[in-house]
Amino acid sequence: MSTFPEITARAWNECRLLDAVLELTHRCNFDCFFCYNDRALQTWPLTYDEYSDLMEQLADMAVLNLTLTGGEPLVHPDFFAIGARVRDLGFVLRLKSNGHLLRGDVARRLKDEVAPYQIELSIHGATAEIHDRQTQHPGSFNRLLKNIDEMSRLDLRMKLNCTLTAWNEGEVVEIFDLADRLGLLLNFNATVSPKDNGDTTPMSLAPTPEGISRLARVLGQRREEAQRREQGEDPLGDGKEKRPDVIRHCGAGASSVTIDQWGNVMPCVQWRRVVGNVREKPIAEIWSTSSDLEEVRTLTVEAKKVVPQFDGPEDVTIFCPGIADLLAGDALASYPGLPSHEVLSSSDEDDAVDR
Amino acid sequence: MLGSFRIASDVRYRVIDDEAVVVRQGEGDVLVFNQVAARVIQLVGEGLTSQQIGDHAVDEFDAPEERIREDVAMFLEELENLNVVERLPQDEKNA
Repeated sequence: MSTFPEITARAWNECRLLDAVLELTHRCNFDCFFCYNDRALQTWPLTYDEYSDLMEQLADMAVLNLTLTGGEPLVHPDFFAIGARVRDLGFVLRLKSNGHLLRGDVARRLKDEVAPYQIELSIHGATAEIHDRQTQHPGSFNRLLKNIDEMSRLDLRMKLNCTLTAWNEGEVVEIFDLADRLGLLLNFNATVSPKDNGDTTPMSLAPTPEGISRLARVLGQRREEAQRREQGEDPLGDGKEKRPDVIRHCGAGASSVTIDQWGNVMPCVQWRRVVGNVREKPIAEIWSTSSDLEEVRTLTVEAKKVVPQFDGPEDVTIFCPGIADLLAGDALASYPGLPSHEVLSSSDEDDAVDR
Repeated sequence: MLGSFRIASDVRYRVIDDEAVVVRQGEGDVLVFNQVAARVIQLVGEGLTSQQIGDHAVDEFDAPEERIREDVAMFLEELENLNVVERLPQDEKNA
């Protein structure tokens, strides 16, 4: 009998769809500087009935994990109806949210009507100064902490997601300390993406090589501490290190897929090459016959071989073939804003000397 | 082997390559079950009674009937102990 990491490894290697991400809307109640969504895009979004049909197809394909994201998914007018359908179809639901609306009736309804496995909340700093600077919404940090407290009392499982930026890279330890005080897992993402339309303005906030090295050092220390305490991680989490013998750099288009609010199917939220549209073909047909998707799968295998020359220190994934495809026109090439391995290595040595 | 069960309300599962991946959302963990248990979970999810599940299993698996029915009963008990399935209210009264 297999272990779950073995099953996810097989999904990556054999292209079995296990995870689907639905971007319900690009609308948001915040205005984060580094947001990758192109809000200028306007066409006719999927209706509730179209979502319901799509999710039935995904359930028939034995997709286990379904993530609702945005924008801010809670501002979608049919959010609760869609969420309840996710529950009824037996998906393990993750909700990615900025957390601002998750209080009072909304939090209670989420618990009762949607019953997510986990709410992944975006945090941008350890202080209101840094967090609110990112969201451009004064008071958002303090309200997030209050909402987390309220959701804890409702027994809603939460996790924090933080994108490492030039603004918060000096607070990595403090952000971990905050997550520890809140009793929440924290996941750092060291990649600041360009906008969906290729605009690289958000990447001006990309973390420095020093910041990335510092994050890697903190992650390494925490991994060792967790091993000493035999502390568990998210059992359904990304945990690439636990996956035996994966042949790909990532699961984009191999075990996971992203579908935007207009039905466009893409390998990943960051790899926005449209490989089909669910209004034109069933998702199973796109999954099994798209030549674009087949090419992406080949590229993720190739990326695994070339990535060591680009990628960050242990525990930190920086290189993204989707961003490389968008910015360099080649999923296996370096791209503007990607610090070289040499720079990261020397920065790590500088840090070691500084300590 | 009497009674009927249902999948516990906080449990999510999928059968992948004949194995059942079961997520207990309350506990926050993942369990993997073999082919026979996966089929039992699937049939519970379809609303079949224990007797009907046993009948299906006898038809589908190549082993002596008595052994299969014992295995199904054992799996159901194990799944109930793990809070993956729960006994239907009517059966709680009869249990």
